[in-house]
Amino acid sequence: MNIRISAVFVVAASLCSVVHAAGPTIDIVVGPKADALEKLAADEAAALLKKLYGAEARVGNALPAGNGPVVVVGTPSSNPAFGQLKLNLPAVVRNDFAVKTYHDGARPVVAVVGASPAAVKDAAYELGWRLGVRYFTFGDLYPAEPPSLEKAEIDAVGRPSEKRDLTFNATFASPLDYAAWGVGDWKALLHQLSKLRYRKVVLDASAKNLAGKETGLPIEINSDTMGRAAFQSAKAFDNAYLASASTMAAGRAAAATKLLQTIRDEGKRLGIEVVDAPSGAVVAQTDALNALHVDYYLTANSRLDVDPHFSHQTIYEEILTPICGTEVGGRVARAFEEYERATLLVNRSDDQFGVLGPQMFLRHFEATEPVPGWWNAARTHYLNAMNEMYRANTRAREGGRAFTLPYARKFEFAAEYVNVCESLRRAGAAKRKGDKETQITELEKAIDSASNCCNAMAAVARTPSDRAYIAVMNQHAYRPLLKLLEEADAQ
Amino acid sequence: MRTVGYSWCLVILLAAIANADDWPQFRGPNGSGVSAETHSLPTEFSTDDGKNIAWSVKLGDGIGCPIVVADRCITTAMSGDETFSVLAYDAATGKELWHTKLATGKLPRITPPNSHASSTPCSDGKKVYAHFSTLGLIALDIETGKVDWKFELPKPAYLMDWGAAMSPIVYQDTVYFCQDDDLAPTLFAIDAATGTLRWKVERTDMLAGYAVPVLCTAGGRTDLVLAGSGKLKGYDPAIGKELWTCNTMPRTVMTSPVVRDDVIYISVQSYGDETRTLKYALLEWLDTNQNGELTLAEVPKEFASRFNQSDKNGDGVLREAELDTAFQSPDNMVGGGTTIQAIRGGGSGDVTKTHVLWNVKNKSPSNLSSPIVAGEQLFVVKKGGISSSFGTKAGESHWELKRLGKFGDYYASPIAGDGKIYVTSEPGSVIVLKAGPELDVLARNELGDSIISTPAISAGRIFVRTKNSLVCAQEK
Repeated sequence: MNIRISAVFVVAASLCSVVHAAGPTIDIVVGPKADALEKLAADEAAALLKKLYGAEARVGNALPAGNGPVVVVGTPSSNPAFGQLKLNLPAVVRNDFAVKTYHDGARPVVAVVGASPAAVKDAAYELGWRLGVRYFTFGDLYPAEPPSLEKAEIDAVGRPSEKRDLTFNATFASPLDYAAWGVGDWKALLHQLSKLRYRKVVLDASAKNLAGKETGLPIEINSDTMGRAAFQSAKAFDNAYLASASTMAAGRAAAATKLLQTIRDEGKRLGIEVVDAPSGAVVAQTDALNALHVDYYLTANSRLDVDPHFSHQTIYEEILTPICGTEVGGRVARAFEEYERATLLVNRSDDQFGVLGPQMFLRHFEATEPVPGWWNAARTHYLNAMNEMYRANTRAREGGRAFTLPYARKFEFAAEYVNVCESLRRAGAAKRKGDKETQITELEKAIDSASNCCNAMAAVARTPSDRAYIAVMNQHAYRPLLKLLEEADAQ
Repeated sequence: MRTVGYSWCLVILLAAIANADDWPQFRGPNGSGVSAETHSLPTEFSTDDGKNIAWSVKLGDGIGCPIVVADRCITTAMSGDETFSVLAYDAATGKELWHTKLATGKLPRITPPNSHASSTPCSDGKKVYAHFSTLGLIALDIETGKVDWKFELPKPAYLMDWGAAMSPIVYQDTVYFCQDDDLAPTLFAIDAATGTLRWKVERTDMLAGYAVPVLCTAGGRTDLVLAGSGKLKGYDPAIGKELWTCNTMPRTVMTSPVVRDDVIYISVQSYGDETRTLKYALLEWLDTNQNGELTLAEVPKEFASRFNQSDKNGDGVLREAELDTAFQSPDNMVGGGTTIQAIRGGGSGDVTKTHVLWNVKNKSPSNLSSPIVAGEQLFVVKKGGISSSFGTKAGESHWELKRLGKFGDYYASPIAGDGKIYVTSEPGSVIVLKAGPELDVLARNELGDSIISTPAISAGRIFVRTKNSLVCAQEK
């Protein structure tokens, strides 16, 4: 069933300024026998209101005296305040949740209600969504101009269709995946997945594999590292939690076991089922080019599950307008279209093209075939995606650039990736012809492009996987290519 | 090849300084980047093993360059989300002498790799003069760091959101600050003692630019010289009167000129060719829906008034001819291009046809790294560590587009001293060359951190402001 929305946002700049200057006091009421997830929902609502309005949000078990605004959180049966206020609640069943404002009673009320404790949690995050907050796996983005809470009229019911697979699959085979994510990173990720209503996380890792060298970690960060600004003063790129364990193999393995258990425990606390992948399951190789916009799609998928009248095209404005401003969604949509064209082309033409690993780039140096024509087409799509995203970024003036700029730089990474491969093919061809000058020129271009890849990501790296791109490009592109150049110079 | 003697010409010090070893502003004496002192400077140094590293301190984010005055190394940083800091250290030991924090208020939009703490301060040995976009100019006592005066400036606005990064200079008791933004480009002259305005010149034909003013003495007169969009101009520093203009610059000037004797040298790379006026950039980046027109919603709010003035037919849309001159002066419709020029100082009026000594147009210039003139050598470096060198007499080529062996971006400008040129890369390398007409790399040093700002030289020490630290290198 569809979600019903009749939210009217009244932006009251003066109220916002008053709010930020003094901060209103808002009472949040959760039932005295509320489930842990309902209490979590109340705390999350409090945190949202504090961040949006500078509000002092007091969480309690009973309606406070007076006529001040109150947020009532719970299932219809778990919170007596719903009945005390005689609220006409939307009907919710199974996993439905609802957020509704009431202005016609003795006091302003916001009902945050769900059919189950997990659904109550979803309702708390829906309140944030209706007030303009947007959740992504990398974090929350807040609206530039939050609407007036006192004047907002919200009547939103979410009825998850359960037709969409809101399962999050985590692999650990490569630093680009989740091999470098430590406890803090995972807790933050699970928190975001919880906001996006992902109910299940599948871990494709054993402690032994996670601790071992199969993940490709650690990767040295030395003084000649492109994009090193992303690593601060670290000497290696690694899973920080595992690295803090003893350097003895047993210590790292024990830490990996603890990490995986922490993920399960934290998932349980947040109402997310964490399971292990079936043994023997085929794990897709990590592709550096295919997952550059996965953050956005995790959010879009979650939203489409409760807002099916949106399409992937129309939901761009819904997701982005509160945080980026008007007309940004359309540009982002075009950017992603171009990126997806590139992705389809690459997958159709060479499904190993974006798989980063040893010899990945050097195989282009040794390849005897000429530069494939589809590379130029792929690069053009990546560049178009980058340019569209930069236009979106320019337009997203008041806030929202935390969303657009990273994608622009990631698409730049992809275009430069193609440049590395192309220059290497030319360098290899020149070497076979005995044309040392061209060989060196093309190798230098390849190194320039590898450097540009790293710098593009370094400018916007915010997760361990982002930093992994930089570390892996140094390991498998920049450093091997420097060696090739030295060899060519020495000939 | 004839061997050219590269004896060091004394750089004419036109600013009052506390001692001869001072590096009192962006790129030192008169912005030349050249140290005339006789101390030997380290060739090899590294934070990896501490070789020839005298000291280092941690700093907050910032790309303003360090200065050295009266045995103090002074720099700036963001020490909190909305806190701007000016810090002074003992140049010999790195001991913090004072740290002044200033609340900035809400910060404006900027584009990486710019930082909010982007301006380089200057000093006359009595006060330190610093700029911050939301605060204007601030004067601090050099002994204590106490704020002496503040001069509020209009908040700069940029069509492409680059953000502020201009730096002041001080000369004969006057602080000069050129705020060439896209909205209200203006040159200010402020009394250094009192912080009151002496004069200002509205440079209405300019677009955003970041050149630092320099001084050029020619024909018995010292002019304040500014490179800007399309034009290099000379002003009377006492009253701000425009004395001459040389209309040979391309559209976007982010580098600063340097002066040797009575000649001004400049190297500029501005995107596109001569036909690429501002309109093309507007249609590429501000025209969000790519329909070939601009609406008010598509330009930054600060430019609403300019938009409305340009909207001749009042339909709320800028198109065609309206776009041509909406934000670029019709008197200065210059496009892109690259150039390295030598222009003789002095003159009167339009000197475009009379004072350009030579003009080299090739791919050598960087858009951000300024040239250095050391002796009779003009040296430039750009992204990828690609360097070129020319003779100052006629722009004759020594070498062109040769790599220095370290890749990455090169934002900082070269500096020179002790017969050496120091070139700094963003990934953290400091490459040392022997100054002269042949490329001779003496060392490639690693400082292990991103470097965007230009280092300083003083009393045998090199001060490098990295992304997270201030490092002092000195022969041990």
